[in-house]
Amino acid sequence: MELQEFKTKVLPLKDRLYRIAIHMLKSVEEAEDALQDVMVRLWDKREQLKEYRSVEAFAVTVTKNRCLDKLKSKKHKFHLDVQELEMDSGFESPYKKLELSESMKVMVRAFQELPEQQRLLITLRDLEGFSYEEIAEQTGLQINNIRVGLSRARKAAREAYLKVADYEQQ
Amino acid sequence: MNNNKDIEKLIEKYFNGETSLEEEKQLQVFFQGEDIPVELRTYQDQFLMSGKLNSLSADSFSDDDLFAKLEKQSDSGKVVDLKPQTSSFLTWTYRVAAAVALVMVGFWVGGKFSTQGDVEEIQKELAALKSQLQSSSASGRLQAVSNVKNSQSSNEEMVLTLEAVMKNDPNMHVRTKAIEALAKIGKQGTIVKTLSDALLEETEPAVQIAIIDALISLEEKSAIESLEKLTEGEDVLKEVKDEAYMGIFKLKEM
Repeated sequence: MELQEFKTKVLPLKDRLYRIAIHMLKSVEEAEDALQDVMVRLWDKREQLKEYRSVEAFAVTVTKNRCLDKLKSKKHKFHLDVQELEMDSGFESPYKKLELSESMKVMVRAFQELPEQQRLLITLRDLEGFSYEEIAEQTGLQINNIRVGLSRARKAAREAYLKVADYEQQ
Repeated sequence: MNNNKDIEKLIEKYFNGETSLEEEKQLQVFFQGEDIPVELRTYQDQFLMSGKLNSLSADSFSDDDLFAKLEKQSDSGKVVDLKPQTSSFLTWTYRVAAAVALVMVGFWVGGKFSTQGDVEEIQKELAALKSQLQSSSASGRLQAVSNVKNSQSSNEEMVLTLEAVMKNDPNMHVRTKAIEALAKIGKQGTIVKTLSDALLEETEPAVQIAIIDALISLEEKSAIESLEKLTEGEDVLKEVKDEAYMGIFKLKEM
């Protein structure tokens, strides 16, 4: 794959990959960082890209792995402090530009606080609208497990949302 | 699709993970409407979230920076490529021959001096391990297993002993240490199979996680099946399942 082809086939995926990274990493800087890494990695692998059925699925897989790695090393560094740090630094910072309503902020926060696996599934399906087959290719999970995971994640997000929303209405 | 009953049914399907993409689209469109019935309003934000978050784009990401970086990489690649052509065929033949000779000398010296000592050392270590394992205190056994970790090489009997500790020791820290020691030894004999089996028998979450980590570090794809079984277990802790999912991801990627 030459630079020209890379520009037309891989680069247009950047917004989508960036969103996945930002939902997973919850930080603009880290997401930009991850996106750079992913693009360089994809460029390095440009010869192999042809062999993949879908360049996009491969790009999403690389992004997902990069994010999980980053999260893992972060966990090792900070351990349990991470959650407190996130609270302090304000959860909405990556979404500040979007000017969300108060109740939508509660929803986004509920989504943000899901465990990373559930966040990943919601991101791929509910936010990016991938099919089950595509998600299976991207994550290596079986379709049945994806459905179960999604069901749990959606219910958990709603529960967390209602908890805060109810509290605020009282 | 203006009938509320239909929407309620779709919502239920959605939370059960049974909706198609098209049905999910229908829900999103419905909740964009203005006259949402009161009893459905608490669902609204969840279905409108994707529309909101999807307006995010990587506009601060500079394509120019990326291409500058990529071009620098491929440029330096070219420079390296050119060098071999300028040096003569003969120099390279010499270099290759020298490298081969060096490696052979290395093997010869290594073989001469190390094998004999290694076997004796392992035997000694094994004897020490076994006698210490008789110890009734957990800390004594922990110390014994920790000592093994330092040895790079090991024989079959050592592996069997460690496997037995992993399966039978009543103390979870001792079991964890044994798992770590086995992971260090690598893919020898029955290690992978024993670890996979132990994963499904072990009930202590911390030890389960140690086994998952060990299987990942061994890059053992055949462990995926056991990991998947673990994620389906009813009384497996959520954190352990998360770790197992992560393991499945990693192993599939390798």
